[in-house]
Amino acid sequence: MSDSPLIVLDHVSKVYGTGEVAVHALNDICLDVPRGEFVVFVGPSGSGKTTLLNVIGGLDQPTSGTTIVAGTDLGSLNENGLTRYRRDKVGFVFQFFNLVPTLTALENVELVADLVPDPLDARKTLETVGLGEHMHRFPSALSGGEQQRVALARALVKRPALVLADEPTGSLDYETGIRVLSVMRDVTREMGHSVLLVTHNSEITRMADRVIHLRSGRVAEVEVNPSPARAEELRW
Amino acid sequence: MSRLNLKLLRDLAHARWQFLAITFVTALGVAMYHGSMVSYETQRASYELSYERLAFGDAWIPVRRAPRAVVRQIERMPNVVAVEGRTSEIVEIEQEKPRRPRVIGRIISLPSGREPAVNRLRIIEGSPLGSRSRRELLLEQAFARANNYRPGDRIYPRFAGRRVRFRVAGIVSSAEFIYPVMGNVFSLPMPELFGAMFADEQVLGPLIGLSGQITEVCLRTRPGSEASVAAAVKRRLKPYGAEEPILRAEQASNKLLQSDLEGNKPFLVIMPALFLGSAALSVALMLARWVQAQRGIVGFLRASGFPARAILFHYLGAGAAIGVAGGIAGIGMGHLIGMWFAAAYERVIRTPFAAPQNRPDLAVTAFALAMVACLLGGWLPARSAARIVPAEAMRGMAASQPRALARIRLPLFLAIAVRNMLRRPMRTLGTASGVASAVSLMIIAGTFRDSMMQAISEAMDDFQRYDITVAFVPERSANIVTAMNAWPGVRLAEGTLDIPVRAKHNGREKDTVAMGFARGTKLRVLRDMSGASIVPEPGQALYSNVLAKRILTEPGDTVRLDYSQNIRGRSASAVMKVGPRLRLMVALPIYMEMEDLRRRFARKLQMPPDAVTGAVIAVEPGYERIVTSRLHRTDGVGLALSRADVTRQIDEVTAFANTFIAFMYLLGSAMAFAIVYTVTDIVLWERTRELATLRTLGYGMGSVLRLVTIENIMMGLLGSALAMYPAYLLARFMLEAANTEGFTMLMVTSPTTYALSVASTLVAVLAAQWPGLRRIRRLDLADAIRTRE
Repeated sequence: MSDSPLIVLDHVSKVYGTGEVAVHALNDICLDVPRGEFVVFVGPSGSGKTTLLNVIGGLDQPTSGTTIVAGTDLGSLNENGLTRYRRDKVGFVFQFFNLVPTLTALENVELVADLVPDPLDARKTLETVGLGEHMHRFPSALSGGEQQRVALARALVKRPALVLADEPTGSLDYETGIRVLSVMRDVTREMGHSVLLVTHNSEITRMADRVIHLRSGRVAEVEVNPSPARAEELRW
Repeated sequence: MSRLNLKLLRDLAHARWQFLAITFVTALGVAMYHGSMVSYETQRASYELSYERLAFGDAWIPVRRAPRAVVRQIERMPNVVAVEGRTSEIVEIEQEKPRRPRVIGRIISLPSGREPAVNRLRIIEGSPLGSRSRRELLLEQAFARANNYRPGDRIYPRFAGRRVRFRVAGIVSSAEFIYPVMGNVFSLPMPELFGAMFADEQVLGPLIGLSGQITEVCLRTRPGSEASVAAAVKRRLKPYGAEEPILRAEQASNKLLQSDLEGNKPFLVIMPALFLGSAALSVALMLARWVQAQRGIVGFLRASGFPARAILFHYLGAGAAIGVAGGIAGIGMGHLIGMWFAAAYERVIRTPFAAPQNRPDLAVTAFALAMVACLLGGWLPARSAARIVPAEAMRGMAASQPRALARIRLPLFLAIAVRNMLRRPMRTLGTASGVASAVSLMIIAGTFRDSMMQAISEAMDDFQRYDITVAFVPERSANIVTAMNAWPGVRLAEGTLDIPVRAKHNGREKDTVAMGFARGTKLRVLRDMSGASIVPEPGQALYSNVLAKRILTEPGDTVRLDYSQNIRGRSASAVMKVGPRLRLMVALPIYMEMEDLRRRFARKLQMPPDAVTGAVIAVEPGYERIVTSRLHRTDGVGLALSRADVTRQIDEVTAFANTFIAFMYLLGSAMAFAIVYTVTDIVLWERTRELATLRTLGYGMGSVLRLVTIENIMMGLLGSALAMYPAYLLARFMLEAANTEGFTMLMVTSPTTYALSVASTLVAVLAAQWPGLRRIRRLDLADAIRTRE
């Protein structure tokens, strides 16, 4: 694996609107993220966490600045290029799961596995996240935590270089949230994925290798955690 | 199968009732198109096949009388393919009981010992004419069927006042009488009262005093040379009193058949277009809801690397699935409808040869139309899905702001309903348009029925105030009518005078009949377009819009009328001033002042000075049969037609139209329900969370029902309002297209039709919301309100 950072953000800004109603969601962000780390972005509402995640995930283009992920300059990509980038390099986990309700857990994972030439085995991936017994159930028959683990399996099955998780525990109760974080941490570490997780829950920062504090669209602080906690140790 | 396609199938299964409803509407559209086309093409092909096999003429040239030998000369003329000379006479027919005692027939000669070269016959029962020594004839099948004739029966034509017994050798069908009318000026088939019959020329000639002579030449010509050849033949026959040729396009039966076919054409387009347009709209509404509901999923799919075109094709796939299902089902249904149409039509019009059309190209076109409609319907929502920006989809939709109008203070539930409709005006408009198309269809069907009933009612109850119509063969002095006035049971008898004429104006011409109308007439009424009573002035010709359009005249123009028959060997013509247009159901006659008609035509044709060709009689209650019976025994009475006879004939002719209208109404109602069900269900799906929230807050199902009903009723009323003008325009267009020279209707849409169409739609709305409401009642409220919008 190369020693170069997985993500390089160079003076990245994102402005919504113009003139007096312009909102600076990201304001001149410069940031390097090494490979293989579990990184948590934390900050209050409106601090730019999700916008930053969307820029890194190729869902949004910055107004200015350069975004390089796994050696790819996202600014140089057109819509098709961004689609390929997302398909090949990024796995997403969202707060509201966004599972297809008419597909079973296994089929939801296979839906994404169909996209890439060399995916992981969908069944094994579900077993990895602890859903081996429920893989033929539809989302409506799964609990919130189970649904989020399906979403995680769906993100991982493509063997992405990077997993982006936006408030993955936001819709879950404490115990389920802990379970999801635990699986996410263990599986991504085992598979060697980098994880970028956005949350407003500061307790989750304890399990991160690196914590990036955002405030008003700026990086307020970057904290490196030499001894991350296990998910089961978190309390909120 | 890819998981995305699996998702599509499961989505369709999940929305199966909507899928089925839209598929049903699509299938109806396809069925209407395919069925109508199959029926149309079958009719067209059957006529063509019959014309070809029976060597149907390209032109007819009537002559006063000509030697049979002239036919040999005509055969040698350029571009003549075949020629036949014959005699053709109108005669009274006497019949044995229990048939009507006296009717009218056209008796036509057939060459001895061979088939005619032109206008052959198909024997469908019995045998060809046998020995010349026997008095046998062949009866046209419509007349034979209506009067229950079989081979071997007896029939009694009258020649020069003498009744002659003939044996029916066979029943035949003829390309000249597929539409069994007496001649060019008649448009209502009355097979019970008029029949064509065919006898050997050597038997017939002496009876009509035309041995070795002919009164008509029938031609088959090389394609495209009909008019020129007919004109040349007319010149050749001039010494024998040749009349204007009748080309195939003007031949009575063919003209009415073609007019029927032409009249059907708009239905081939408009009806399927209404259904398929509605299907497209329904697909659009359903997919728009899907896209809205699956916004987050689409965002995720795009975020995961699914290209925009995959999303586009995914949602278009739903439209395609409906197109495929509706197309296949519609072709099957269309085949049945086509067969049913053809069978219903066959009951009225029987072609000598049938050429059922099971053409794959029609099925393929129908299928393609279904696909196009459904893909077009799916295009906008699919494109909007493909354009969803993943990051925005993840953020969720911002609630749209209510428009200023929505701030108007209204009772709570009404305010919610109004704001909901205004919140997404395009969606509301789309939904209302779906409802409008269903309402339109019902209004159109109702308008056809209203217009037909009005035309018949006007003709039977207002224009015609008599009970019996009488035709004399030949014409008589009016003394006979004076005598009838003294008969027991006769309240009033008035003479009529009808003279066949050809109306000409600026190079355009039309065969019709001039009818005398005396001032002071009590048993007949003429009305102008405004409905006011009108009587023709001397020198004036009154007629309908239909004839005015055929010969391009306006009130105030002049029109030339020429006597158009050759039987007297005399000519008469007059130039008349065109008066205000008349409102007529049977649209071709020209009305002239009675004395004027006698002076300008009857006397020049050596008719009696007070000539009448018929009479109309009003009888005392209970005397109709007695007077009719006496008329049948009266010398010179060719035909006596009671009001009941006419009503029965009209019923027979309109039966097919009535069936078609009822069918259209049924389909309209079915479409209304399917569309309203689809759109109502969609609205309820969209509002599940809102309604669940209301229930959670403590509102009962009754309140939810009230809220939903208010909104759906408002949607139904909006759709009904939107339907009114397009329905009016479409009905007018279709009615004008359906009007023929034979039967013309003024457009009438009764308030009942409007009320019934709107009420049916509202009932459909109430019924259609039921499944959705049941779903809301069974909702897991906690789960529903947690669901992300």
